[in-house]
Amino acid sequence: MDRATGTILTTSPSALSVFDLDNRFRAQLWEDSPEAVRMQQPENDAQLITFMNKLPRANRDWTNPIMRYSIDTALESNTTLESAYAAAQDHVHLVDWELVSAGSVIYLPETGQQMYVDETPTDSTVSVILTKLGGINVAAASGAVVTIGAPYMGELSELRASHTTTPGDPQYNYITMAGNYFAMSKLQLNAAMTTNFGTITKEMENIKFQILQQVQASLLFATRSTWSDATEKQFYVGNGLMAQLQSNTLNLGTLGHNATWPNFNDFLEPMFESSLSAMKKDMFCGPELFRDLLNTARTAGRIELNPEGKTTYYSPDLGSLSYDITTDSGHRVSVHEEKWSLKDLSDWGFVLDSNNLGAGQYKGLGPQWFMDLQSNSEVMKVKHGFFMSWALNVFDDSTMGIVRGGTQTIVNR
Amino acid sequence: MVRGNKSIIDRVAGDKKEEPKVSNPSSVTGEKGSAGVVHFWSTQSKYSVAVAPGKNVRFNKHVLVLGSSDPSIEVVRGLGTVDIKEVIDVPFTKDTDLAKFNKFLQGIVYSGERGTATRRGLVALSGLFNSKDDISAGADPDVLIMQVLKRKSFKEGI
Repeated sequence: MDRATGTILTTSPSALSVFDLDNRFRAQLWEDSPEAVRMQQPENDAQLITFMNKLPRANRDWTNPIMRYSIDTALESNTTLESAYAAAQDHVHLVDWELVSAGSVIYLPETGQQMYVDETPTDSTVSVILTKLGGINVAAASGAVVTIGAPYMGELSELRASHTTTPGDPQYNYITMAGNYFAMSKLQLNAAMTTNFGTITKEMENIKFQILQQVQASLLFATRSTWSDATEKQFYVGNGLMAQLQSNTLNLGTLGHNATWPNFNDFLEPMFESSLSAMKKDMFCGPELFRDLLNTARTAGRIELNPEGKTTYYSPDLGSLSYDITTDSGHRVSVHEEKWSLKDLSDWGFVLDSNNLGAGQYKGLGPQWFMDLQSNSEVMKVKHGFFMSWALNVFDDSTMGIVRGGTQTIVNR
Repeated sequence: MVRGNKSIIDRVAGDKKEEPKVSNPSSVTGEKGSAGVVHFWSTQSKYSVAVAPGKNVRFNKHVLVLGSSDPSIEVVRGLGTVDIKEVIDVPFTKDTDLAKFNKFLQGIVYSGERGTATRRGLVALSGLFNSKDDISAGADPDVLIMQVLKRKSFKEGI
């Protein structure tokens, strides 16, 4: 027994403190009960994976780790001047010179000029005859619109040559595999717990949410790769969205004053041009961009009100806070707040087109548990693992894009 | 999309030449490579930059050319993003920079399956040239890379 003198208290920092968790003399006080842990979020919801699973082309089973696909577009009939045209010049420089061949007719609608193509070009220099078609002959600026007219024929003409297209580069992607495990002692497994912390159920939830969150990050930012490891053999890593969305990016800078409705609208409209485009896009935004775009669209009167007269709503399908906007030409974009993968990239956003995304897994290797993985000698452990394979393929990348920038938080907490 | 005006063949090189454009065409004051212009290049084909309220400038086929007095230039430069480079008609001088630049260009061009040259990569590479460079669209990819190494560099380094 130790002796103590002086005023009896238990809050002296040099002696017993009421704040010490191991203080044996004052009973610990809990506002509710020790096991009542207030979870800020029950889970880090992986919205993108939820979205992926709801795609028209979702949950497909593939049997080869490499898959290919191609995108092409319709024949065009107009181009632009590669460089300025001087009056009376007997040739023009066309950006898309393969549109024309001998006997083609070129119109420059902005100046009213028409020209007859003399011979089939082999590069951007196109020889033209000005006298055959007549009309005015004036200079035209670089970038002027050039339209290709009908290939006129005379009494004894032969048919004119035409052009065709071949699809662009075939795209390809890999199926990625990933998984992790946890181990628990059998003493812990059988321990009575006051909460669900440390229970097998809780740990299984943890590991599943953990890997889903990590897979979502890979779905956004992974870069395609493959390599051979001496012991683990061939790895395949598929491209994420950022690596595949190489056509449209809008950078708003960091000040936010350029994040106006015309800036957003100018960016969004071209994504609907492709006939492969869906009628509606889904845009997953970090919290700051989500707020920026909401305020901007609200100010511009481009936000749709739900039946309750509110702008934002809870999307039960994705588990997100959402709102709908319409572009100047009436195209619709549903904007969803993505709080987790974009938490530290809160001024980023991904505009996605459900018609141009394909998702799936290696056949038989979708999301699943592998139970009791402990070895025979690990008699005091249980070991369970969660595994999944996936690929997210972008078909027409002109229909999707990435937004970066806008306002930053005033106070960084 | 690739055009073939004589027969339906599969070609690697020969895509359309570049035409720089911005959403406000008046800000283009000349051709690429001519005096008084700034030549930006992006790893992405249609990068847009909000340069003012209600005004975006957009890269077309990786290229954005702005007149040297265009106020948008400082906005684009100020982004400091790795996706955008300012192309100058002076080659790198240090071997280490040239080696890095070569590796960078190889990565752009040979991005196909099993390291083959891609049409997208060649389009991106051709965006580094200007009309005065007189580069043949059908040239060998390695030759094009050498031409870039001999003539071009990025103002911000590699």
